Amino acid sequence: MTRWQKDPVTEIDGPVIEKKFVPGLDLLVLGLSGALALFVASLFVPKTQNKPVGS
Amino acid sequence: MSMKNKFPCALIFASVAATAFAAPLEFDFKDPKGVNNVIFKTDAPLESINGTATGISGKVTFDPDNPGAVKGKIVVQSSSLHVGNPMQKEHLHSDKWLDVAKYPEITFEVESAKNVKTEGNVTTAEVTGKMSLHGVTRAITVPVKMTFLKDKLKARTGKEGDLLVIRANFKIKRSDFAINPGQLDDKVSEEIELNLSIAGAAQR
Repeated sequence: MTRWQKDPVTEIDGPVIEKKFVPGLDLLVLGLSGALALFVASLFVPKTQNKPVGS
Repeated sequence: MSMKNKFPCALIFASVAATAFAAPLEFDFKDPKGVNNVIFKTDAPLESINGTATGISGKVTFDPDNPGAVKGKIVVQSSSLHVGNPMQKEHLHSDKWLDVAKYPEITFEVESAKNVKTEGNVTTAEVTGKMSLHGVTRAITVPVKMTFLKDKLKARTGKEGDLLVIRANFKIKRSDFAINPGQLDDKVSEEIELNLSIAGAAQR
């Protein structure tokens, strides 16, 4: 991220480069990876049989 | 000391003092505050890229009584060229474009100034010098605005001295400096606009 700051004496606008996290493709990839992991994990969980009510 | 001896002494003192006051000042452009910068812009049909360079140093000799005699050299560290997109920055620094490892400096050495006009503390001039970029050195002329700020260094750094602010807006052609001539013109324009804003300090 580049922020511009004016020097009060010289009146030069100078760039201040700051490291800041900007959500982008990396966040999307992380989300999709998480979803895929959950899906794969769900395949190994045994199905629960629903018992009919009142039996 | 007789009156006869005093007169030559006074004359010598006056001439030495006059020489001292008329001496050009040397301004150091290595800015501890890191404000000095060059903005570069390319505007091609498919992409518009803006970037900055802040690794600036160099020395300029400037005489407020004779601004046309300005001399000096400004150096920009090639590796300080920055664009927001990390991939574009990697490409810019690579051997396919600026090859910053092989050509670590971009320099401009002032040779002469013409059409010098001064109003108050502001001088405008057309400065001719040698620009070196990507291993190619060419003579170019750029319009320059120089603002002499007498005794203003203290307000900035707390030290006694003067400041010289130099601004210049001009264009170069990348083919003139052998930067991928004729290649990828739809993404990187042939003309590159440069906006220089730098301040130098002459400490007393």
